[in-house]
Amino acid sequence: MSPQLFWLHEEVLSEALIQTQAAEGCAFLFVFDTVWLSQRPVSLKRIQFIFETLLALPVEIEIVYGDAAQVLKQKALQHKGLSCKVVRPKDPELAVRVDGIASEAGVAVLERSRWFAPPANAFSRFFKFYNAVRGEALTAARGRVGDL
Amino acid sequence: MKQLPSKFESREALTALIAETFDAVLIEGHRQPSPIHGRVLSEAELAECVQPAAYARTRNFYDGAVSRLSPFVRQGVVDRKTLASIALSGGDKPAEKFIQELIWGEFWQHMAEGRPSGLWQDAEPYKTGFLADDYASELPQDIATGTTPNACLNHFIRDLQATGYVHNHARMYLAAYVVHFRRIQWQAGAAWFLAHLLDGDAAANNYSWQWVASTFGSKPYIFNLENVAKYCGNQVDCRPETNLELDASYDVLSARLFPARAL
Repeated sequence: MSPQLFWLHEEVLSEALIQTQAAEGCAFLFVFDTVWLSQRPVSLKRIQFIFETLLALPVEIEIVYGDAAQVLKQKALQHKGLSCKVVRPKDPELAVRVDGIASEAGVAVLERSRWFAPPANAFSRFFKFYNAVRGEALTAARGRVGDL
Repeated sequence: MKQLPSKFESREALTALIAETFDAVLIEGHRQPSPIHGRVLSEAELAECVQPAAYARTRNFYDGAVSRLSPFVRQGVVDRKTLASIALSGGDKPAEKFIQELIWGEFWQHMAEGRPSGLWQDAEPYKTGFLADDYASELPQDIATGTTPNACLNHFIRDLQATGYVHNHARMYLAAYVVHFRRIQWQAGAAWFLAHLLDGDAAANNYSWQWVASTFGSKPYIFNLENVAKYCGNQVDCRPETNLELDASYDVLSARLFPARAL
């Protein structure tokens, strides 16, 4: 069976997601991406918060500081037949970065799970959006109660 | 490229490693960790944080029953659907306001996906009587250091910079002060918040700054000292003599801040 790697980023530090992927045999990698951090500088507080969350997750995670594109390409070279996947970020700018690396390094991009389907109309005022999605949002959330 | 350890003797050891390794990409100064620790949250902890009925009554107060879970939502530790489920377990009616606020987060995401240019570009013209070029592009030093002439705002800035978290109402006060009282482009303030907030989410943060600025809304949002005192007065110095710029009625402030709009 080919090795599997799940590339984590700052939006997907979910215990449930990680346990699902671990059950499928994935190893885990988190890259503090210097290119992204240069584009969107943050304080030490934010880095520490993310780092502490990584340490608290119930699986072993390889944590790397560097250019994520280089890290992922190197992983592909080191492990023949490596199957790597990542969840597409919500942040549109981070998504551009992740999509770019994924196409360079042969990483499969998974769509993120959503609370409810986005409305077809491009609402630009909140209450129009709210009125369009409220019913589906409540139904979906009620369905989730049994899972808790 | 550097492999980082996954075991540390202490929290201080982790802080020291980050300060050394990340030096080139961190914002200047601010090398202390937040008192809010990154962690995984149990269902019991989540349930304790989500108090929808109290939230509906008190959310606008600085010490109101807000969940303070936004940093964990931002990092994907918990999602909004799960929080909505927890809120609904106490009944639909008490959960309504809490869920509406969760859906605000989804709305900002909807906006950012549909109009990613709005993350950094004005979605609409300012409705303040000023042009975008009338606003300065740099955050003044006294704001960045929490030494403005207004004690209450300095308190909020210290909270932001020391903890990486500040109450939403205080975020609105700070945004309105930066954009309207000091006439700084909202983008400078949005970048400042994003750098410090543990929950720094470009969609919610930047579009909210645009809403305050009036580049994504029908009018500018402003506040006065009386409003800060009402919602934060038991926590924050709201004496008129230490908040001189803010101590006026809305009519007086509107005329002062938006002279062309008032004409």
